[in-house]
Amino acid sequence: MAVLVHADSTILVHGIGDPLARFQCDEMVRHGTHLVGIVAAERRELAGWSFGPTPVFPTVAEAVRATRAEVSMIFSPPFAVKAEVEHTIAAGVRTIIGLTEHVPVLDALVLRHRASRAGVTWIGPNSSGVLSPGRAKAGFFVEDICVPGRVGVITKSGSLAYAVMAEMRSAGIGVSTVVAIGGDAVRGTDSRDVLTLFQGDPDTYAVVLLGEIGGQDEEDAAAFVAEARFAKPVVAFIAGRSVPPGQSMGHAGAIARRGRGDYESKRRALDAAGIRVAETIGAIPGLLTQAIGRP
Amino acid sequence: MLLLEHHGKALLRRHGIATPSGVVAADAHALEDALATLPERLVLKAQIAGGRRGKAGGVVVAAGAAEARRAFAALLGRSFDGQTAEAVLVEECVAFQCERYAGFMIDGGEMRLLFARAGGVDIEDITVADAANLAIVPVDPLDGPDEARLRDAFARLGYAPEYWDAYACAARALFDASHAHDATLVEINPLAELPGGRLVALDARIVIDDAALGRQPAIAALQLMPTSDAHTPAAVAGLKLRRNAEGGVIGLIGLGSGLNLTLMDWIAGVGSRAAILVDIDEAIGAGCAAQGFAAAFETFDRDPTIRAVLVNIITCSYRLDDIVAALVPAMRDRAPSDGKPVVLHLRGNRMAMAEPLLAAAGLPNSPSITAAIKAVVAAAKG
Repeated sequence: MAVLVHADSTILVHGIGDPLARFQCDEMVRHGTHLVGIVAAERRELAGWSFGPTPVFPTVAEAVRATRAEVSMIFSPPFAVKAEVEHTIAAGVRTIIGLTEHVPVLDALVLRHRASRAGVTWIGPNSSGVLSPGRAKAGFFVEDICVPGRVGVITKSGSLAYAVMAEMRSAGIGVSTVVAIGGDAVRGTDSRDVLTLFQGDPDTYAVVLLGEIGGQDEEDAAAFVAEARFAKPVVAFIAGRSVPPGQSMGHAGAIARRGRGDYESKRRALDAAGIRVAETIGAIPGLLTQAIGRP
Repeated sequence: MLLLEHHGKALLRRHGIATPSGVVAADAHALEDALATLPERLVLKAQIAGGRRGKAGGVVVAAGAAEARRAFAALLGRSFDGQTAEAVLVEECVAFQCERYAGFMIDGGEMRLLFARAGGVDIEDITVADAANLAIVPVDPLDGPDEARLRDAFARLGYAPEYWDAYACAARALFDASHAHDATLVEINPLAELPGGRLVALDARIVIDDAALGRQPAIAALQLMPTSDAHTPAAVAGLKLRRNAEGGVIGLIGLGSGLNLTLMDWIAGVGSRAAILVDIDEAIGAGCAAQGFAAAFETFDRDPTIRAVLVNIITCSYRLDDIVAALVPAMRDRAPSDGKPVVLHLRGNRMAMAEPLLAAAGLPNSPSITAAIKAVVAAAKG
């Protein structure tokens, strides 16, 4: 098993006008992922691209009717993401991954609530996607940098996860699923939601949590672990230790955020929850080996 | 983007929130027009996009035209925290009964309304001493503010019931203004109580989501003139130079904010500092990776504090061979006289196709981040 995307997951791609989306379609096929359809309201989105045998649908509703797709990957332009995801929720797709960067905060907030009400897993925006190595790829992660294994990875940043998974691979430690929740201020899925998924996955023995300064996500995840709602070993790393906290905050921000979201606050919360915190990313494989034994 | 007070107040008025009558004056002629139309007692407020203006002397009460002219002359063109007041808001001085605070913010993934018993310039200190000064009301972004929760907050803060309808209207207006204009922060401090259950916004501090400016053309047009950095090669290539406030000796070109932060920490952890960070993703996103690399090298080579450069890229989303194809000519074309040592650590998608390009250009690739950081720190020490 793995979480969110599996060997038999059926996947749609939206926003194929973006060159990154086109490249990722090729990459998914290279990884043997079941890319079952492309959603493009207008044919001109496809201009200049040879998309092979993958069927194209004008609406997500038609795509879901024809393919029973379970996962949607959204590459649509920033201002189009909100409507695209709302249509995708309405069409009955249960897992939606938003790769687009620079989505307005208000749209991200509305989508967080719409998805939550509908019981849909909405990851992102500005996510680097999901990869279950050896099984399925629904995002930027590739198997050139990691191997299949038993460690779940949760990350805000794609780039940081690439570096960490490369370190893990060098130490012979593989990945069950890597989930990039995205580094934006407002996200659909938080680290603790992914912890819940990993809790239920028998193939995930431990989790690496890759956070960064700002927001409250790591503190929430630590509280979740401290409440004994996650029973597997967790190794964490927080980026941004050398950045001084508390710069350029407005009145309301300063009032509500005082003492929250900086490195020390996150570190305290993780330590209190018994989570092993790596000082450098190079220390992560060693801490994992201590936690679960030799892979 | 932080709006100037008078732009913020104009936006609040469109959503039904009263503000004092006033005139924005950028020269003596406009001031005379304001004096002719406004009452005797005035408040003059320097228009800068920044906080703590009140405590810095940027707000002056004037009892008549002579005092107003003196205050205007003192405020116009004065610098506050590095920002010059290009205009002064001249307003009627409102006789109010008490100063409250109302705010709207998006924080921690949620929408919130905030109300305070005591507003004004000391609100932060008051709230630190007495947390009950502030009531935070969560708002569902789909349904809007919940009346019962608002009334509960107003009661807890001790607002007189005759003002509750006005406060509820203000709450709704803040919510509507946020949706209409992509505001992530709206603060009215103070929000003053007038006799008869009426409220008036004596200040407005509104932050618009930068990511949404493309669909808020009227607000985007209010942006201040670009700074002197706007036409540098780096800016033209879509790059932002992130300068380390604590200085440093290494120029860092990375890809992706999480790994960039980690590298800054790592370099600091071994006793050195990255002075300037460039995320090449911004240039790749703008379709000009080669110009981005060239501009970054030019910036680093010109900056006398920078002694060595680290290029650390681990990519899954882009093809590494494409990135190397943009990097190689930028490195080749640097002026040899001022070229500083460059350490490369490049990994990722299509690695096998990128390696021959590096080999052909005679550029060694570090085996790991650890090795790359060790090498660049040593090079920076000379």
